[in-house]
Amino acid sequence: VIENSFVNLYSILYIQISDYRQIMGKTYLSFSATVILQAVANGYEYGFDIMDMTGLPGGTVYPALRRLEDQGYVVSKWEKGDIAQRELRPARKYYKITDDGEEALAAAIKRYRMLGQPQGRPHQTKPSRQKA
Amino acid sequence: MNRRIRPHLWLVSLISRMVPRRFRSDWKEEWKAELVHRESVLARRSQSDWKARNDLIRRGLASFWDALAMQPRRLEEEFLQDIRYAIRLLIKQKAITAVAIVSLAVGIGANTALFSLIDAMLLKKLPVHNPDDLVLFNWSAVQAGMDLPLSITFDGNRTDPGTGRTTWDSFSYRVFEQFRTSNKTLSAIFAFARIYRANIVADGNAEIGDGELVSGGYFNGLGVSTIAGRPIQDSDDNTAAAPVAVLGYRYWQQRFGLDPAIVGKTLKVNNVSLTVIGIAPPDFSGTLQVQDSPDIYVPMALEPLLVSPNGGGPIEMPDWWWLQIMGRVRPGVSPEQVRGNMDGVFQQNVREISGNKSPSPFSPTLEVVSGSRGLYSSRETYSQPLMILMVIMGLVLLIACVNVANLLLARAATRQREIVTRLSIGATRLRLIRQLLTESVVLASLGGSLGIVFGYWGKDLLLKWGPWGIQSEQVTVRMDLRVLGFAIAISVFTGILFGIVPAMRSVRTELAPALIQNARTLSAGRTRVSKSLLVLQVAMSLVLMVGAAFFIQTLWKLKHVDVGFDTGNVLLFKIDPTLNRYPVAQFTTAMEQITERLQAIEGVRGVTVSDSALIADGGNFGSRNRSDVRAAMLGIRWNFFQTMGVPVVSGRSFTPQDNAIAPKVALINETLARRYFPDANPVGKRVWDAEIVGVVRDTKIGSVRRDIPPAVFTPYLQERPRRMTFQIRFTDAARALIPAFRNVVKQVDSNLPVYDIRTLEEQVDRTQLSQAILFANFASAFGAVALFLVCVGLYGVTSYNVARRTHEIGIRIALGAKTSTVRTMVMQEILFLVLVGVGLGLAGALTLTNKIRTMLFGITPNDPMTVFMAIAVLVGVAAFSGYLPARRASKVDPMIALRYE
Repeated sequence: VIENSFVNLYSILYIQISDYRQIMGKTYLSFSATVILQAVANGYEYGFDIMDMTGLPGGTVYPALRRLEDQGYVVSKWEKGDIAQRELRPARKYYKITDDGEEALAAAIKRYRMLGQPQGRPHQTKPSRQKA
Repeated sequence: MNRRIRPHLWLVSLISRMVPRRFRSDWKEEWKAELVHRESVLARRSQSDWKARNDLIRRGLASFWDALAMQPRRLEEEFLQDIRYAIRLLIKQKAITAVAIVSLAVGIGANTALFSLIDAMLLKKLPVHNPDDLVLFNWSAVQAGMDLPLSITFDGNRTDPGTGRTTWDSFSYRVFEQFRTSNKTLSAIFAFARIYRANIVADGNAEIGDGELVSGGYFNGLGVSTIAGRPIQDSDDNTAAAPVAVLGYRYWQQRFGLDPAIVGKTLKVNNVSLTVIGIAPPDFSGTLQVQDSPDIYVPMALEPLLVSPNGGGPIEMPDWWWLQIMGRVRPGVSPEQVRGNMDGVFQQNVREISGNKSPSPFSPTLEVVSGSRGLYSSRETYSQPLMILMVIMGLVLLIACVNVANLLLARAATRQREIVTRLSIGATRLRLIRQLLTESVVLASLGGSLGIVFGYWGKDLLLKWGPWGIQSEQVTVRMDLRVLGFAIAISVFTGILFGIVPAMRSVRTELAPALIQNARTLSAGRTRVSKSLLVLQVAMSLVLMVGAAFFIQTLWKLKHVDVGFDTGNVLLFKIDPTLNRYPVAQFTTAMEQITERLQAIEGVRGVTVSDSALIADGGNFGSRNRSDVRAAMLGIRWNFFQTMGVPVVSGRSFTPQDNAIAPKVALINETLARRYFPDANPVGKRVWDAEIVGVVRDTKIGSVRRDIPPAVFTPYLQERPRRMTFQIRFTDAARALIPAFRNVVKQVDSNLPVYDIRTLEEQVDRTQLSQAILFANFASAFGAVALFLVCVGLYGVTSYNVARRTHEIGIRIALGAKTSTVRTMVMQEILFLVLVGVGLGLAGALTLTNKIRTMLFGITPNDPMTVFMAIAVLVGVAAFSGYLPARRASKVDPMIALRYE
């Protein structure tokens, strides 16, 4: 929990700095944002599914999704009422990648590939649940 | 899993309180839906109850980080809310909003216009490659009481009053060549100099233009290329090369209508054929002073051909310092290192030119300064007028701010209950201050937007009316991002400035008594603040009004100076036959022919010629034949004094027989006669190399401000050919005659351009009075604005006070006070405030008028009459605007007033 807290704090700070960088005329896709965008592109459309898929904690996934949405790389929609009703639960929100998102993702993957290895902390690639 | 206790959902509900309200319900829905979905998945997997619950709680806790990351949106949200509220409120109170916006717009607009001018004239860097790498060479010396052993063409010097050292930026061509040879610190070094007047003939039309002589490395060193053709290069800068020229963009636009075919064609400049090889880019206007935007650039090697065809030009003379040297430093080299590199060569040159005089009092120091703004020296002469305008406009903005602050204070009174209610149901004071400040910044932004529109018009007006001595087309003042940034910055700043006092006062309220609506307890403090603001406003307005009074007086006195002759109905124009290298005989014939033909035009009463006009031109001052007599010199036609209406007081005037072959004669003015021939009749005596044949009555020469100098007038036929000014006295509208004048000159010589056509009065206004006119116009216009703002402020504050005291006044009247007593009571309070303001303002005004001492004429900076007039107007108008509410107070019906509470 403590480690996850650090990861979350780091992500939040990173997002603020990234916003700043974007204002300075640079659009910056962080490593975790790239991973999340890739997950959305691969059809993992719900927040918790993305968390499960990437192993990133919720405090990283959700702020990143909101930022990707602000940037126009993903769009969010509420699922249809009848599906939720059938399963006797509230409607969930899902995320879809946009054309801009596809482009940004391709560029980011190319960049990280060129770097040889990802910039993020190595443990981020492991599912967090396994450690608990 | 126990479905009745769901701590994860409860956690999300709790954490959702952190999320900004605008996003809260969506946020909560999203997290809850995910958690509920996860619950059912876990249930399906039949995980153990405690494991599932642990997983759900952990996920629920993660929502805290999401909520935390949304905090910046909270500010954004509240800010938007504040803005919406502010706009609603402003729309509701239309009158206050309109007055506030207009007064702020005037203040912000004036300051924006002025800033755009300051930016264009003083701050902007040259539009060249890396302007910060450019350095300009200067030298300084103590000049006091010493004749320099050299001639300096350029007059852009400045003296530091602290050290007494004067700085020049001119060097000789030899210094430039030696700098170039010994250069180790600069990646490029180049020189340039101004051509003041050039006769440019294109397609058979002659026009006067100006130019810049540039060394071969000029364009390359600056990193400027041409938009068509090529720039001047090193290979063009030698006497053997074909003569070429690059056109300035503005000149290309105005004279050739942006025709690209001009490249490769030939122009005749001062009778020399030059091939146009390129066009300079639109932004680039050379490296000279701000008012010089050269028409053509020509290689320095053409100087002897173009400027000094008879030899003896500056390029050959080591003691004629006339050109400016600039360089681009190599990376990592400091200006001090450049100075160290060149100082030896410079001092060697100085020793050579002052070699025979020992010990030489002439010990100049070489200086290396930033060249990023081109030549800077004469720009500094604009800085004083610009400073004064800045003070005027800054004061107007402050007065406007104070006024709006007072309006907001009065408005805050009406909102007291709203604010108190909000405080009592839990709003924090900080939150309320933020909201009130947002309101004032919104108000200021609206004022600022209108101000930018005002500023856009105002900058052109400022340039047109300004005492800059520049034609408005020569300087492009743009409303660029910097200027807009400035306008936005001062809008926000003023918003906070006038908003902070009312906002702070509004929230500093005791809740309980305020809710009981006790008007007196509520407003005592606020009244004190608004009264202080009013005093401040009166003080600042007085400073402006005293300034305006002084400037108006100065202009009036200047307009009514007795110049010694009739300035009405005289038209001037100039021609310069020397540029076409007229021989003496042809020059004389042409002048006489033009004069006679002009005389024949209907509507012309008299025509005369002189080398400079009496007060419209600067004139020459000096001595000849090593004589002690130093005087203004004017070469004139024989009928000059007769045409100008100046009587000859003794002796005779010139006659047509006083020509080139006749013995040299001169006329002197009364001042010269008094100074140099105090006890004798000067007629028949000699001045310089001529016999004095008469004395003429004194007239102003050169300047209406200065005292009349001693003057010697000689027949122009006995002088070398030079630029001549025709002076035509007419009976009808002069403008209608101008085409006829041009035709006459064209008939005599089509290669002789006519320029500077204007009436004597226009010329005097332009050259001598422009500064006084500008200050008088601006100070009085803005003085009036300030006065108006004070009236609005005074009226508002008094009305508010009277309304607040209705109950008290009612009791007074009920107890037998007379209407006049009540009126006097209110008026006394107003006048007390105004007088305190006047006292404060007087101190400020007197300090400021001392600073503008040099700009005044015929009036001392603390002339009591002028100060008294300004005070009288201010007090009079202020008293009137306070009288209206005072009268209303005296008409209070005690019955209604007592029912009021």
